[in-house]
Amino acid sequence: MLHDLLSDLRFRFRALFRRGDVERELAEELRAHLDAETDRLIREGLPVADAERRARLALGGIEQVKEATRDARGIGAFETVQQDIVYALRGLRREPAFTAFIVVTLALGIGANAAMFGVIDRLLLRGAEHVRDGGQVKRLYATRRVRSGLNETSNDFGYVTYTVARAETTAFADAAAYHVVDATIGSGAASQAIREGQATASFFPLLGVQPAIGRFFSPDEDRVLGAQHVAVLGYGLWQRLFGGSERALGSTIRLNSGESFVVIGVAPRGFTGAELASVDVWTPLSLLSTQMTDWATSWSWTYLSVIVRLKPGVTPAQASSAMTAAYGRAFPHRAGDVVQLTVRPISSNEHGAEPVEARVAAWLVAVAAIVLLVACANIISLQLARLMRRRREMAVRVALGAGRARLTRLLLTEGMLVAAGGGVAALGVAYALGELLRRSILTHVEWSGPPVDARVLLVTLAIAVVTGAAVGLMPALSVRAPDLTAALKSDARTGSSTRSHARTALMVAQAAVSVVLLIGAGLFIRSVRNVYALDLGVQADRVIAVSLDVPPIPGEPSGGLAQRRSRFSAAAVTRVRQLPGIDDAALANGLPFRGVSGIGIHIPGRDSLPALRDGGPRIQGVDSHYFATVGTRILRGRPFTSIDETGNERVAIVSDRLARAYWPNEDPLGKCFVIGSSTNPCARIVGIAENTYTRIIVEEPGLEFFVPIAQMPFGGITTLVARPRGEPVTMVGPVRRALLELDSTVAYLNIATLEEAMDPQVRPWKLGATVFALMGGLAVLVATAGLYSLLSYMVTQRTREISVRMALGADWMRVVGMIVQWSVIVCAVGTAIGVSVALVAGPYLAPLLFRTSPRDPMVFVIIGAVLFAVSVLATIAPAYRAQRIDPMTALRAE
Amino acid sequence: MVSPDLDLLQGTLNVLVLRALSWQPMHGYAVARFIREGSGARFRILDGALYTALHRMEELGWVESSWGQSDRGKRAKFYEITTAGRRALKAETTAWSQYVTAVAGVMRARPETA
Repeated sequence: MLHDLLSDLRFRFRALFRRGDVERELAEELRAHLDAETDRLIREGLPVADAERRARLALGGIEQVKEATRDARGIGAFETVQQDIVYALRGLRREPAFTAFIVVTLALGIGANAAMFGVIDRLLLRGAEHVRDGGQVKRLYATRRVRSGLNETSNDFGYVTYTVARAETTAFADAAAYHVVDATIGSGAASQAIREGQATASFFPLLGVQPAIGRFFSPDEDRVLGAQHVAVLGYGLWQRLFGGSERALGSTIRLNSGESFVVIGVAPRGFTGAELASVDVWTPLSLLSTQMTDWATSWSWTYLSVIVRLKPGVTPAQASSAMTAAYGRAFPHRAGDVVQLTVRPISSNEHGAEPVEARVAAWLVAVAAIVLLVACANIISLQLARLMRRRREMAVRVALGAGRARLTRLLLTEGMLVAAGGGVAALGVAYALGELLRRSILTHVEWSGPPVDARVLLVTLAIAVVTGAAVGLMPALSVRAPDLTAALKSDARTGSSTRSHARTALMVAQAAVSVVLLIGAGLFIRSVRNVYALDLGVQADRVIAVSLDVPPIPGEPSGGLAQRRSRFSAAAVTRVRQLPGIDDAALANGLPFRGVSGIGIHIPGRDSLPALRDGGPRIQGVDSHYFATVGTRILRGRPFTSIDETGNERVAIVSDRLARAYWPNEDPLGKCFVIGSSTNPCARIVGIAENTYTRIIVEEPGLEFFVPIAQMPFGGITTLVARPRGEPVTMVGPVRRALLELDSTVAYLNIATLEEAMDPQVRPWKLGATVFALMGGLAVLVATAGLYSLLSYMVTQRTREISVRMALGADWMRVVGMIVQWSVIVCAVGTAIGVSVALVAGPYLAPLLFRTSPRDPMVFVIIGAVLFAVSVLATIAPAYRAQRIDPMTALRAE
Repeated sequence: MVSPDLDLLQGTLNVLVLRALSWQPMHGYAVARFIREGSGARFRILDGALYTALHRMEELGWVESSWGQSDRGKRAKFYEITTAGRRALKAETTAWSQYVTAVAGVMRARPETA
């Protein structure tokens, strides 16, 4: 029984893989039979020749027997596929340049799509790593009524709101709050800047993440006013500090130059909490409760993000109304402010909308897909041309009994082989492109794996298969039987093939697509330039900012830290001002792009104030050197003086926008307004400053005003700003050294230009510009190559025609002119179509641009000119070749 | 008297080949000789059909092949019946007997008298 099974397997194995052997053996077997029969007949007395003939007749014809036997073996299908592959390979090898071109084109097209998928997968589809069942995890937002009836949505909450969410167990399975800050680790000169995530103990179980080693905080360690100094390291920091060793557990780290923390666990690789930016260490949120006695119940501290996990079966809408109701019940005196609380997808931006990056990324996927389509169109067009060349070969195959199905299969095999080659090469392209994107514009995202992982691999495979089928089948479908028989009869090189409508249409389509992509790129590039050209009101590229992070001394009396800080700040700014190479330096509480707080104001004699969409007004505390240091002009009135800094009179400087909004018909100078609580004294306006952007670039400058630092209604981190004479980068070192000399316990001083702080906001446009430009360039490249090869083909096809014309005395220029004319017309039509599409689709792109009209004429003109130049360039070589045709040689070669 | 060559009935070739091989492993030529001599040289078989049948039966798993030495010392491909082949032979033999009995029965039968 087993014996039979084994021999059966051996039979099948040989039938599949030892085809040649099997054939030989059959021949041998039949030959042996023939010999034996011949011998027998000879022994019976027949002459040799007759014996042989009789024997052969008796056998019945070797070839037929072989054929019948082969059929009887019945392994037909697999062998046919093998045969197809061999034929296809042979055919492709015969035209190496053509094959190489197709494989490279496909590699670029598929690779670009795979790379974009990898990016999208991380930014949009998968979201943060290590989140279990991410669809059920939502972020909390509050929509507040700004006084004039405008609503603003934001996700800044205090611990109080977290408490309410935690208690709302009908809708939420769990709730957590967190807050990511810049921090330092180590001390003195050896310190590094890191990102610290302060989170409640419920944060990790809510997300469903498991530690790499050790554990996360227990609720005991995160008690309000009783939190422990424990820390969970991020994977990257663990590798950097401890080399991935388990002895990290239980060891101590110093954060922010003051506090020691015991490491109790390490987060798994790629874990970044609920957002995508990397986090180096996690500490219990409740440690903050010691900084302010009623932190857990106060309404002043509203900068936490709250995330929740919905109970199974609860919809976001239900959760939102439940939370709104709970909030209203818990804080009836506050509820008037808040219109509603909503839960939204965890990837939403700070206003509860889809992040700009996500929308840009969606566009980019579309773009990459279009580039692939262009590549396919190109290849199909070339395949059609090639098929025409091979009409004779096809016709012969059909005549030999191949059948249309077999032909189609053969062409399909060719397509798949080429796509397979392209797909493999595409992986390399995807890797390179992915790395490029990560290093250049997506640097803020923590990537947990290589650019090409299992999912990207699968997608590449799928795209390659579909592409192969398309590229193989499309030409096959256009092969018709009458064409083939006609090909057999006639000379296959005569001319109707050159006027194929399909090819012309494809070429026009490619030109159009290239134009659209390049226009997109141009618009994004303009946006980026507009952003950088924006008058921010501060000279962000000329100013360096330094956070003065004076650490607390354990056992210090409560006012002591504040005093030390203000002494240090004063000494620091004086010291820095004296440095050679520094023009001026100042102190500020609240700095553009590094955090400016909002506060309510009240104008005596008025009941209500107009409000702008941006919210605000926002307040900054500055000293007398501030405006000169950052380059904000005082339009009217005066900047602060040293008298204001120490004086008793409340003064303020307002931005032009605020002045116009609140005192539209009068001169604000000399007027006064109340800042914060209505019991505060009225502050007199002494100056009007130019508008500044303090938060986000997309919106208009907000309502800003300035007060002397000492008059700030609440505390905060003081930042030192300095204006170097030359390049800011050169003064970073000297400034840091000077400050460390003053007080070496001060931790890593986050020294950077303001422009760097602005960078995260410019990123989406940079991303769009880069990718559109890349894709557009790719599309143009592919289209140009396609145009070039088509034109070459045309010249070869019409060699005869050209030679005849030249022999009849036509000027070569006129002959070549025909070809150039076709090329220019195709490109012109393609450009026209592309421009029309861009004009129509423009409004959809408009929200993603910055102060650039989607119909910006300069972009369109430039792109049009580029394409024209490209089309002319592509015709040069073929035209040159056409001109060099020697009519006599060509005609004789017929 | 000249005995006419008989054409092999469809499907009986398998049975004959299996019967031949049930005695001992044989190469193709030997099977052909066995059938020819066993039928008194009556059956006209195209030897090619024989090989087709052998290969088909190998595919079905009724016989298995191996290379060996013929009695003349030459290399020859020998076929051997398998367990499945023996089962098939038994089934075919039974079917054949039933066929023969049925035919004989009809040949003996007389029309029914009214």
